Amino acid sequence: MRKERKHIIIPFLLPAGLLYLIFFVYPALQALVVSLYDWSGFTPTWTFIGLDNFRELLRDRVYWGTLGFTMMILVVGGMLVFGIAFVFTAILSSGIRGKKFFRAVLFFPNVVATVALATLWAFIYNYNFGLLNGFFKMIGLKQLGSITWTGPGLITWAVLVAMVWIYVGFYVVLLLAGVDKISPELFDAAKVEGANQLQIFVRITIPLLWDVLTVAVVLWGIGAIKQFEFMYAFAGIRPPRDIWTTAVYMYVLAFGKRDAVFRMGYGTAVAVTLLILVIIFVLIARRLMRREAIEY
Amino acid sequence: MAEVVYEGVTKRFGDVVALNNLTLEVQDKEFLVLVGPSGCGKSTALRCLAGLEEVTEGRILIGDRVVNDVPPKDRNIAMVFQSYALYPHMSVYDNMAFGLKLRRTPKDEINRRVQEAAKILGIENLLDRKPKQLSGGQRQRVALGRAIVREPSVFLLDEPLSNLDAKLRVQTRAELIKLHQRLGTTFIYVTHDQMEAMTMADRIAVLKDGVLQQVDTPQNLYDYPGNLFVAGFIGSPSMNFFNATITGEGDQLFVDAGSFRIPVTPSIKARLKDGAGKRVILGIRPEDIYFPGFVSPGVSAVDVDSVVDVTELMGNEIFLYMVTGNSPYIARVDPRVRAHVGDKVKMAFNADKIHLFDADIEGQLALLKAGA
Repeated sequence: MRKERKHIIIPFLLPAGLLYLIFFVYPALQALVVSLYDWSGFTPTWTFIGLDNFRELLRDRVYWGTLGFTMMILVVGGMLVFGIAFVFTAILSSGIRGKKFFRAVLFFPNVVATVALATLWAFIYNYNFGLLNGFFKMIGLKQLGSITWTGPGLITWAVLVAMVWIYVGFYVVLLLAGVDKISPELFDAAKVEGANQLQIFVRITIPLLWDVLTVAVVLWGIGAIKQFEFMYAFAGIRPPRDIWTTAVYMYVLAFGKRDAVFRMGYGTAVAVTLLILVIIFVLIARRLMRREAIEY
Repeated sequence: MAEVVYEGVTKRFGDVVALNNLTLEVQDKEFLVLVGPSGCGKSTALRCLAGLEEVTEGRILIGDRVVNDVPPKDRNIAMVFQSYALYPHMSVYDNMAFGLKLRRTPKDEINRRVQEAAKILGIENLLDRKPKQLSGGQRQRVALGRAIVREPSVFLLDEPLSNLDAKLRVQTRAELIKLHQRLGTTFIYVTHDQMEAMTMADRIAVLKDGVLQQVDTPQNLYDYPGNLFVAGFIGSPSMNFFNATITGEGDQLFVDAGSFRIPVTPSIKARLKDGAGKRVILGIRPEDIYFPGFVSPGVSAVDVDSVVDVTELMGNEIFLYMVTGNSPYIARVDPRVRAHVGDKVKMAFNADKIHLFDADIEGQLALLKAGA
């Protein structure tokens, strides 16, 4: 900061900085501390137990189950979301009409509250009066129309499909914005040189999209790891363990009103593991996707 | 190694007619320049030839093949773009090799062609660099190299010099001409700069509002422009124009511009297509107007009373901005002339070098036949 400006900049930064410190940084650091204690969350006394919470986590079957589901969302969901998003991006950037319209339609779920979307999908999958079973019965596929989509084996996949449906649009918009940055002359040149649409997409578009793609992957990773609202709102009063993400488990442990567990210390330990997970993911993703900045 | 033919090519973008019934033949190995003001359709004509735009009506032929429905990659053409369109994420070598790799050309063949093209253009030491590390002139050469390695039958160049600074532009112009001679391939070159057209072309095709105005060698276009637009477009500073009428006194015809009149010399009369009483536009090039005392011998000079408005010293010549009556004009005179603003001068117009255009009919065609 240049000397003369200091006395203006600091007062302007101070309020926001203070708020950030008090309501974000401090609690985050506090969490690291709380995770080392055995505490119910509301009693005035707590016991220091060091890393015992973490040792217990290592043996906690429920925790690893939820972690497995979270990873499934991250990896399988991620592949599906990006795979489908790429297809849509390729189609919408090929010069067809109605690009803006389709883009808005695809993005729409991101505008609606997650709780509402979860309720919507719960209705779709409902065994008795849901849209999916109703549709199959209507076109005569009674067998397919009698499936309990939210049953033990299928529910994780049902939720995954719903999540892909919700988030594809966001990533299409992101990727399209990246494609729009590419000079059209590059595509012309590639066409003249003999590239077909697929080759153009793979050898020109994707490499030039790499920076946007890195951002998109990191965003997806962070979002997938902290997934909570959809699972919690999807299955009504008590979401079945099958679709508990690690974040849901953390909530149940620390605050769960429906499950009277009341283990703030242990729950916070779960939260700390989530933090570590996100950090690892971002580091790996950025390392793998690192490349020289493209300049024109 | 092929000729290119546009047969009645029309291109519409919705209601806008970008190309209007263009019929043009490009000879094999020719350096043809498409020139015209912005929006005249020259880039569109090039893109239609490349296959980047679909023709609305008419046919395009390369060699003897109708290529309307042939995709760009099968037309055996190579294109150099105004902004070079180099792939920023690839090295110079990969940029040049891209097209060949797509066609699965064997590696040593690719290497041979790239090295050869690099040598012709003097960029062998740049092959490992990325485009962002190159200067404008170097990028342009890479773009040319990328086209050369394809060994196409036609080179298409879309204003490739526009992004270079003036000095580099002049230098690269000469290099392009030499390149054309060396490769012996048909070059079709688009530019808005008439000077580029004049210096580089075997023939120039002038376009305006999607309509072909005239196509001829640079010298013929300069000496015998077919209409007012071409006359005013080719040549810098551009031709001077005066409204006038053709009047007659006995056998002698005059071009009467109000404040002065010029007798129609025998050589002009021999080429004149129409008779007296016609409203015309008189044209005369700045270099055909002389300062008194500096008239070239043998010139049929006619005195025109004028007043000096502005003088521009160019070093090797002087541009005099003059006014006669109410009409301004420019004369290019000997650098030894001493003229000052406000001077009253009888400028000498070369009566054998006038141009006459039809003032009434749309298109304002030349009233003088070309030749002799």
